[in-house]
Amino acid sequence: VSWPDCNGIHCGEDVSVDDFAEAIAGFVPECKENLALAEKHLLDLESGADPDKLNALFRAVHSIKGAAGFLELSEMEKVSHCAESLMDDLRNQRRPISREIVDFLLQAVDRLSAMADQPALGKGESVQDVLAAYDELAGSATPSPAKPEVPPEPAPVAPLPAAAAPATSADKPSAIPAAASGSANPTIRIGVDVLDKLLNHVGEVVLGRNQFLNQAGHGEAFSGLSQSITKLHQFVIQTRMQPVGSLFDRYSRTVRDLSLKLGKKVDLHVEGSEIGLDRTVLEALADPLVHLVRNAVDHGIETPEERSAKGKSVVGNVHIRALHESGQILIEVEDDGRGIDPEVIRRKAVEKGILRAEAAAALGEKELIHLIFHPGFSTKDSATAVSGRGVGMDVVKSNLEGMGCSVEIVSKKDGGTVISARIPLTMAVVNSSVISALIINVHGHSLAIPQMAVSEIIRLTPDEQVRRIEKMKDVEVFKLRDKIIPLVHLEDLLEIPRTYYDPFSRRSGLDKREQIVSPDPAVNDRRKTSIVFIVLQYKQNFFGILVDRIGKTEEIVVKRLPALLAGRSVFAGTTILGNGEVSLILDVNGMVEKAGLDFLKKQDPQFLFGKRSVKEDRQRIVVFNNAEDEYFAIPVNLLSEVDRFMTSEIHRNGNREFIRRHGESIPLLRLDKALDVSPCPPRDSQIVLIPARVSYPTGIAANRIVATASLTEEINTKEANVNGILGSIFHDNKLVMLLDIFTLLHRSDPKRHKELLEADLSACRILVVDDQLFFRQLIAQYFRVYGVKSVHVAGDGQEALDYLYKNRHSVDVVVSDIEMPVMDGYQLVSNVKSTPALRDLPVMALTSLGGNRNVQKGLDAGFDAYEVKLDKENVLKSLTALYQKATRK
Amino acid sequence: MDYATFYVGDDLFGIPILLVQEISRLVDVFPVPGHDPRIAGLVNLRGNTNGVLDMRRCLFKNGCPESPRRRRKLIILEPNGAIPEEYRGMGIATFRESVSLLVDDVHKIVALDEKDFHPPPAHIHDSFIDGVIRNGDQLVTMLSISRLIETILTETDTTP
Repeated sequence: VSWPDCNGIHCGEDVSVDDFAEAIAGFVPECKENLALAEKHLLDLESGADPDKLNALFRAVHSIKGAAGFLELSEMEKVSHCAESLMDDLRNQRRPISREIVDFLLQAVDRLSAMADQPALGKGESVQDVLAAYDELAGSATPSPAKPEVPPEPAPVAPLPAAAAPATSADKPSAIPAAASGSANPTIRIGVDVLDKLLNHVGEVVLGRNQFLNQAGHGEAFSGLSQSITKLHQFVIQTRMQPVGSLFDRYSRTVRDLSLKLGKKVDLHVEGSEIGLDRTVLEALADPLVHLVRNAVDHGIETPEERSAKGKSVVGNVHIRALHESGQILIEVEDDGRGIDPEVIRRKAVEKGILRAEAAAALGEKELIHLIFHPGFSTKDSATAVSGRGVGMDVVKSNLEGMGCSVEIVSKKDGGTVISARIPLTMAVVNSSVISALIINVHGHSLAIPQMAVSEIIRLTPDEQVRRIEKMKDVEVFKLRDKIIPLVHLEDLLEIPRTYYDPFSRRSGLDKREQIVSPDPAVNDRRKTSIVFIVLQYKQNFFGILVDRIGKTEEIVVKRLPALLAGRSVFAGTTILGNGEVSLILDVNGMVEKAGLDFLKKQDPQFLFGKRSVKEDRQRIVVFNNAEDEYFAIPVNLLSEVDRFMTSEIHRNGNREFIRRHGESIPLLRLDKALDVSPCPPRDSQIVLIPARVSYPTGIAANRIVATASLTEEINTKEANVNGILGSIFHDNKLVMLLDIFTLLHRSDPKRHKELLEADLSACRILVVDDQLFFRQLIAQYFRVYGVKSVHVAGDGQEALDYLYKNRHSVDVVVSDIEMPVMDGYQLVSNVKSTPALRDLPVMALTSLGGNRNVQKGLDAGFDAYEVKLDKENVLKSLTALYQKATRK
Repeated sequence: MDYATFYVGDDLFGIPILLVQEISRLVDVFPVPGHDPRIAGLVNLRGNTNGVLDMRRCLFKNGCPESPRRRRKLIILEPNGAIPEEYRGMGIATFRESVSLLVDDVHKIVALDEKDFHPPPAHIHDSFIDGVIRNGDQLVTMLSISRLIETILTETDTTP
C-alpha cells in the first residue's frame, strides 16, 4: 500500500494507511517538542554539564529514536542514534563535553527538525554526511551505531526543509496534510482547549439542572429538557473518551517487529480494551507504555533457547491490561520473562556508582528492584538499538508520575515482571464527567465516595456492636461473615476530631470514646445510638470506614482536586453537589495509605504473577455423620450430588438396598457395613452422597451433613487402612475420618468396581509433586493403599527437580500437578525431559485442569500421561502403564 | 506599575494588578475537613472549584484583631499560565492554577512607583513579604503570592 500523497513512504502490508497516518500525526508534534527541548538543553550544555540536563537531553533524543524506529523512518532513526550514542558517552563521562560534540549534536538536531518538517519525514534522504561526521567524532574507541551499514542510497532527494515544510503552527497535528484527505467521514480538528471549555460548560449545565431538580422538583416540561441535557453531556464526554484498546492495539506491531528483530517468540495478550479513558491521558500513556512493552520484549522475555533451558515454554507472553480497581484504572504490562535479579541490580548499582557498596548491601529486594527507575540504570550488558541504555525506566516513571499515576513494580527472578500504573480517578475520567457516588457526612462535612468502591453499608445497633466489633491491640475489627476487616474512623483520615451523630438532636457531637465497644458492659448497655460504616473494597481486600451519616447516591460531576490540596492523598477530586455545596471526593487508595492498611504485604504474592485468572482452589470437604458422634468427610470435588431421601423409599433386594435417582435405581452403601463404625440411628429420612467420576453410580447413605469446611490442616494417616479410610483430621474439635471412596466402593462391590492392579506396584517408587498439602497427602496415601511402598512428596517443581537431581535412581515415576508456584508442572517436565540423566523418567500430569486443550498442551509439554484429579481408576491405570514401560527397559 | 491593594486586619497589602483575574463578593466557602487553617476552603466559581486562602491566617501567625471592616471579599487570581512570560521572569507570578484570596476588604488600585520601594524591615522574616511601598501617608506591604503559596505547600501549620 502506498500513501497517495507522499511519494517515498511505503507502509508495511499489515498496517493500514490510517494507522500509519495517525501514528505519524502524533509523532511530528511530539518530535518537534522533543527537539525544541533538546536544543535548549544543548545550548545550556556549553556552559557546563549538569547530569539532570544530560539525562533530559538524552531522553528527548531517545524518544525520537524510538518513535522513528517504530515508524520505520530509518534515516531519522540513524541520525538520532548517532546523537544518542554521543550523549550517552557524555552522560557517563566517557568523553568530555567539547565544542565539536555540541556542534555535531546541534547539527543532528537541526537535521532531525528539518526531516520532521518534510512530508516524507526524511525518507530516502541521504544521511551519509551525518554518519560520516559521527564516525569521525566517535573514532574507533567507542561503539559505532547499531546500523552502520547503510543500505545503497536511493537517488538522494535534495533536502528541502523550507520549501516542503507545511506551515507549522503551535497548534497540534496540523503538520500532516495527508491525514485528513480522502476520508469518507469528514472530520474537523478542534483545539483541546475548546473541547475543555465546552465540557466545562456542559458540566455546569448538568449541575444547574441538578440544582434545579433539587429545588423545584420534577415538572413535566422540564423532564424533556433534563433528558436532552443528559444526552448532551454524554456526547460531549464521548468527544474526550476513547477505549484503551485503540492504544493497546498499536503495540501488537511493536511486539511483532521487535520479537522478529531479536529472534524471540512472543505472544501479546491484550485485556480490558473496552475500558474508556480520557484521550489526553491515553496519549500521555502512549509513550511510557511503548517503553514498557519494548522493555518487556527486549529485557524481559528470554531467547527461545534460554527459555527452553529454563523449562519455560519457548513462546514468551506479554500482557497489557487495563482494569477497574476501587474506582481507579490500573494499567499493567506483564511479562513472564527472566524477571529482575536483585543481586544483579545490587552489583550494577555499585559498579555504576549509583550506590556505595555498604548502602547497596543494606537494601532489601523491593528497594533494589525499584533502582531500575534510577536514571542511567541498565542491566543489559550491551546497549541495543531497541530499548537502549536503560533510559526507558526513569522516563517511564517520571512521565507516568507526571500525570499523577503511581507506579509499582513486582518482579521475580525467572518469574517475570509486572509493572503497573494506577491512574487516579480524576485523571481516568474526563474532567467534568459524571460518576455515581455515595454522599456521606462526617462532622458536618459532606463527602463523596465513588460508588464503584463501595461494597456494602452496615448499620449496627448497640448490641450488634458488642457482638461483631472486636478490639485488637489499639485497632478495631469487624466480623464480616467469614472475614475480619479493619475498621477505620474517617475522622482520623481527615485529621479531625472523632464525632458521633445523635439522631435525636440531629447533630454531630464530639466522640470521646476511645473505642466503640467499651470494656465495661454497663456502659454498652446504656448506649442507644447505632453506628454506621461503609465497607470499601481495595483490590481483593475490604475495610470499613465509620461515618456519621449516610446520604443518598448522587450522580456527581468530577472536578480536579485543587493543587493546594495536592498533598492530601485521601482526596481524589472535588464536586459540586445538587444543593450547590462544594464537596470533596474521597480516594480509596489514599485512604488505605493514610490508614496505614498494609494489604500488600498480607496479600498472596502469587496474585501478581499472571495467576489472576486461576481461581483459588482450596480443598473443601463435606463433613457428615452416620451415628451421631462419628464424623466422616469427603472432598467436595469428588461428589456429584448430595440429597435427602425418605427411608420408606428404599427398595431391598436380598442384602442390597437401592434408591431411585433420576429415574434409575442406584445401590446404597452403608458405612457401618463397609467399615468398622456404628450404624445410623433409625430415621424417616437420610442423606445420600453420590461420588463423581465412578463407573458405577453408588450412593453413600449417612445421617446428616454437619458442615463444609476448608481443609487446611495436615491429615493424620495413622488411622488409614485398606478398607477405605485415608486418614483423620480435626474439625471443630471433632475427629473426622476422611473417606477413600474408591476403595470403599471397590470393597463393597468388587465385581462392579474393578480393582485395576494388573501389576505389582509395591516396588514402584513415586515422586508426588503438588503444592497443596491436601492433595499431596491424598495422592500419596492412595498409592500407599495400593501397595506402593516408596512415595516421596515435593511442594513444587523446583523442589521436585532438586530431589530428582540428587536421587535419580530412587524414583520410577513422577506424578505432578500443573499449577504450582515457583516452578509449574510444564517447566518441571521440560526440565526433566531436557536433562539427559532424567530423560527416560516417566512423568504423569495429575491436575484439575481438564479439557482437550489442556491435555494436548500437557502432552506437548512432554508429559507421558495426563490425568484429571482425581479419577483414580485412570490414574492407577496410567501409573501402572508408565511403571511397566519404565521397568521393561 | 499598578497594584491592587486590600485590607487584612487593619493593614494594607498590595499585589500587582496583573495577577488579579477578578474580585468577587464573598460567596459560600466550603471548609476542607481538618486541613491547614490557612486554607479557608473551596468555592464554586461558575462550576469550577477554587481553593481559598484565608489571608488573616496566612499573614498573621498569632491571629489578627477582628477587623471593623465587614466587607470581606474574594480576590480571584490568574493562574501562572495567564501571566505574560516577561512578567513572570521578573518574579511576578501566582500558582499553576487559579487560587482565591479571602481578604477583609479591597481598597483600590494604585499606581505605585518602584523608587518608593523599601525592603522589608529587618525583623520581618516571612519570605513572602517582598517589601514596603509608601503611598502618600500609607504603607503598603508588597506580597509575593508565589512564595506565599510555596510556604503553604511546604510548611505545615499546626496551629489549631
